[in-house]
Amino acid sequence: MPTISIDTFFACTLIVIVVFVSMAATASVAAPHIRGFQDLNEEVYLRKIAEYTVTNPGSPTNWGEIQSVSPDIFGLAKENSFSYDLDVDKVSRISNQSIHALTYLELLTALRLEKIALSYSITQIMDITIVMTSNVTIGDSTTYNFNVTVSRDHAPLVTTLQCYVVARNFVNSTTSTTAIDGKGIVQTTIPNSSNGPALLIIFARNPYDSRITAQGGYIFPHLSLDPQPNNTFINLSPLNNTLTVTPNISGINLESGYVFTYGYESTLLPSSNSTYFIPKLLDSSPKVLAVTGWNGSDFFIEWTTYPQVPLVFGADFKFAERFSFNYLVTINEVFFNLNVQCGGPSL
Amino acid sequence: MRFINDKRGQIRIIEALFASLLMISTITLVPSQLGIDKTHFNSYYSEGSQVLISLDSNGKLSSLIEERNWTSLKKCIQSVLPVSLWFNITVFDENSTIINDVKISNGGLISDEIISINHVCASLSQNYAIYIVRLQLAGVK
Repeated sequence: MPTISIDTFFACTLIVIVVFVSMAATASVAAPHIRGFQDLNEEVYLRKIAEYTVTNPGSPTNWGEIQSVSPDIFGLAKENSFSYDLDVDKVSRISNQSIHALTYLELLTALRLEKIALSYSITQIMDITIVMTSNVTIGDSTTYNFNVTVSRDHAPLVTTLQCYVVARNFVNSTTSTTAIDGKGIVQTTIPNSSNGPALLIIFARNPYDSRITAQGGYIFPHLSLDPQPNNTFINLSPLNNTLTVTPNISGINLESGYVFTYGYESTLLPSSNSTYFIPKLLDSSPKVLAVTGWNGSDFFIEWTTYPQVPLVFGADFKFAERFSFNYLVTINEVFFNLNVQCGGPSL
Repeated sequence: MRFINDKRGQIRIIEALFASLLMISTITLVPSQLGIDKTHFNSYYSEGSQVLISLDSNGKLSSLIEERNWTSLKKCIQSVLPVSLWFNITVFDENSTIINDVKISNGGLISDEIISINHVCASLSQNYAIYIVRLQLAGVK
């Protein structure tokens, strides 16, 4: 065999080995990036879907107000509204606390999408933490002290506080502020004759923009046993400026209904045995609705908010990969955080 | 002896080595071409745009500019943007002249990746002034 043939054989072998190694190396290096481009495309696609449901009112455009109507096309925006302005009733229809809530199947049908899962989560823009620190009974009344902390993403906030206390045959209000460390003190006095559960409602408002307002509730015993958790006796479902009260146990007697915002408080007028009219209050504030009543000889206070936020609705992505999109939205002139999670066909 | 004297095949080996070097060099180029990481552009742009649109939806943004109330403008933006984001705001009039005489920002820059959003807003007062608000955002990578 001539020398040149052996050399050519070795050269060809070397080139073939290098080609295979190169191909393998290129494929291993390029694969994650190619997958990344697919992710980018999918992210854009899913973002558009999420955006559509947030900025379109759906069909019929007033599907939120009518409890018997399921949307043909799903959309949360208020009719004829500015961008990212959600309808309070459409939001209430996706709250699992409401008896008028849509099912996930109805959502998927209205979305008209296959192989895509969605989840909606709406939270307040500020977090309010309430802790009772002390109580003192002097004469025929008891004074309670609370530490209130207002924060956003664990960053303390300076706010003004408007507080209401509801007890048996007793409603009172007080004001306070949180300092630069986000902490404030609220003090309230309740007559001893109003013994039973008592509800403290606190609204916190940013001094620079009234639309940055949030609420928090704290139920505590006033010279009585610990109160039952909220929604034990009745379910409260506000929709279309009407509050529907559904007893969870038999033998419930309703007494009074109240609505609170940052700047206003009012009693709720009953429209039937189990419904109340919710007045339209011109205030950039979430509404807190409280209903009192009796279960036999036990007095109770139950409450909800309108819109019923915080809420989580849709698919459970606990262990699944998904894209997450955050929106700053307004509902009835109040800012809320909306998070839409989407799982696409390739995830 | 014949193998040692016959040097005609060496050119093939040299050729193969050059070819190998060429191929290996292309592999080294691949990461630099495809290694453009996903940026935060979409999410930051979306969040920044929403903040400006939402603040301007009831004329709040333009009224603060009209009043030259830069402290309140900073506080409003700070209240609605995520805490983890750095921001800087520059306000221009219709002649592209900067009108904020103080820095409207929440601190030092925390990343090299800065995105910029321009938002046009109009005053609700009778002079109908036009303002361009430039919001720059950056976040921790």
